[in-house]
This record gives sequence, structure tokens and C-alpha cells, in this order.
Amino acid sequence: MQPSNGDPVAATMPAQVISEVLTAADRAPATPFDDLASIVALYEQRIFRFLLISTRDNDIAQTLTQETFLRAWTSRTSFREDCSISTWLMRIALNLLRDHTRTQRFRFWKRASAAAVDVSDVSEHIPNRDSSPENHLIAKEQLAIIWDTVAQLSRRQRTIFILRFVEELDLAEIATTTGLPISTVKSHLYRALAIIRGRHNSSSKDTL
Amino acid sequence: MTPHLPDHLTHEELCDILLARSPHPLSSDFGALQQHLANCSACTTELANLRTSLSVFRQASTSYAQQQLIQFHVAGTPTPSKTILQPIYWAAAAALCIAAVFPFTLSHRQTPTEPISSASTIQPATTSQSDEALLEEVNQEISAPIPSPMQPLADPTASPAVTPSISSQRN
Repeated sequence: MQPSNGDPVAATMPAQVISEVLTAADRAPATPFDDLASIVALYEQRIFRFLLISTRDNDIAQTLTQETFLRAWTSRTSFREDCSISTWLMRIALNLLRDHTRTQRFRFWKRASAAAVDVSDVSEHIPNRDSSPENHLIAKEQLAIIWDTVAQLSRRQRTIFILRFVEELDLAEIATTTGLPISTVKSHLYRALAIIRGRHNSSSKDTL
Repeated sequence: MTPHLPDHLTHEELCDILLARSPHPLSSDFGALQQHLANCSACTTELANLRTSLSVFRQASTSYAQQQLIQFHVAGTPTPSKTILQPIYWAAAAALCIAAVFPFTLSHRQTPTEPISSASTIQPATTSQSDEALLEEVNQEISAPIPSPMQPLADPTASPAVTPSISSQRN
């Protein structure tokens, strides 16, 4: 056992293993993910936002965000640069999200979780450019309609909707991220928007 | 799907505008769409409402997520703000307590209640006195002479004065 430089992992690893790992790291081709701190600084906000709006749970979103960057780091050698870093990270996040939301445990904790995001929490962040209380109320209603509608969408529709209208990806980027044809992406968006239009129209009739 | 009205934009046309997939600006379709929007207040209003709603959703979601991430970094841990106040946690805690206590309650009920012995009600001073008495009694029993049936047999070679003869007994 060699004396370590304060690294608890190094303290438990024989010197030969450490040197082999370091040599393997030297041999591995350089990837953008070698500087993970910069990658996290650049993309954490986007990945977290996508996961938060998708899961509507702060704890799960934080956990999955960290897991996304961990996966990106561990599989960084498989990044072929055939897509952008953002798309690659988003694809990892999407896979993690899909795996996580499939479980029964997620469905239980989603009902029980205190970290669940409520629309009232989000409505406090409506931009207040217009100080008119009436307009602010209308904006809150509009947000509530979209918020409720997004919750009713299927998992795939919701993902595509968020990628388009929150992350502002174009259809080709969404197709690359989700692995779906552009036509499928478009039809999912048409259906999601049809539901939103229906809710808008019924809400307008109710207020009249 | 919204029914198609010949006087208004189709759902697909409206969606294409929202998705920024309108026809090319130099195409005739683009000109027709713009012409329709300029003349149809219903389509213009609906399009504006949808745009506003989607924009509000995006801005509020972005701002909220940004704030949450900052809080996470500042705190270093997830904010347990409302966790403790959730009724489901209290219900789960109560259920656990009941589950833990219930078996003991059952076993306690099943065992017959033993009469309270007088010894348990004796004061400590009395207890020590009785203990001493008991020890004294044990000591006396230990130091007591060996009971006659267990005494060794008399030596037959001993003098007659020690063991009275049968004839003297008869007398």
C-alpha cells in the first residue's frame, strides 16, 4: 500500500492499479468531457431544467442531473462528436428519465413526494413586465392551462413538447435526441398543441 | 384535433407557425397565410394567445428551474422545506409506531395476569431484614448437628460404659 495524497480512493488502491488506471487515462483519446467541470458549468442548467419540468420533482431532477454527468464521464470515450455535446447529454438524461419513470417506485413517490413542484410555485416566476394585476392573473391562468395539459400528455409527447417549447430545440435536434423520425416528432407536437388549443378554447368559453 | 374551418387556418397551419415551420417567406403559401392573419382577427387572437401561453410557460419554468438550481448549490442538499409537513409522512410514521407496538400489546393481553406478590410490595428495608433472617436460618441449618439416622455407627470395640448394655437398659 502506498501513501496516498489524501484521496480516499487512492488510499485503498494498490500503486500498481493506480498506475494502470493513469496509463489507461493517458492512452484514452481526449474528449470534451475530460474537462468535466466546464461541461457541468455550461450544461447543468439546461439538463436540470429539462429534468425538473419533466419529472416535476426537485429531488429526482437533481439526482438525475448528477447521474447524467456521471454517465457522460464514464462513457466519454463513446462520444463520437456526431452530435453536439448538448444533444448527447440530453440523450443520456432522456434515457435516465425513461428508466426512472418506468418504475412503480417512481409512481408511488411522485404521489407522495414533498419535493413535487406545484404550479403555484412556478407561477411566482411569471415575468412581471406588465404590472397590471389583470394581465398577471391572465398569465397565471394561461400557465395553469399549459401546466395541466403537459401533465396529461403521454410521456413521449411531454418530452417532445418540453424539448420544443422550453428548451427551444428545432425538430431535427429533437429527432436526434429522441431517436424518432422528424415526422413523428411533428405529429406528437401537433397532438399536444391540439390538446392545448382545446383547453384554451374551453377556458375562453367558460370566462365568457 | 380542432375541426377545420374553411375560413380559418387549419390546425397544421397554425402549428407550423407556432413551430416556426411556416412556408418559405418567398413562397405563395407564406403570402396567403400572412394575408389571412392580417384579415382574420379570430386566428390572429388565437395565435397570439397560444404564443403568449407557451412563452409564459417557458419563462416561468426556466426562471423556476434556475432558482431551484441556485438553491441546491447554495444549500448543498435538497431543500427539505415542506417535507416534514407532509401528512403522508406523519401517517407513515404513525403506522410504523402502531405496527411496532401492536405485537407487544397482543402478547401482553395473551399472558395471564399474575397476582401481585406480597414480596413486590415490601419495602426495601423489610426486604433486607427478611434476607438476613433467611441467611441466618440457612447458617443454622448448616451448623446443625448431623441428624441421628445419618450418624456413623457406634464402634463395637468401645467400652461398655459408653454404650449401655441391654441388661442395664432392662433394669
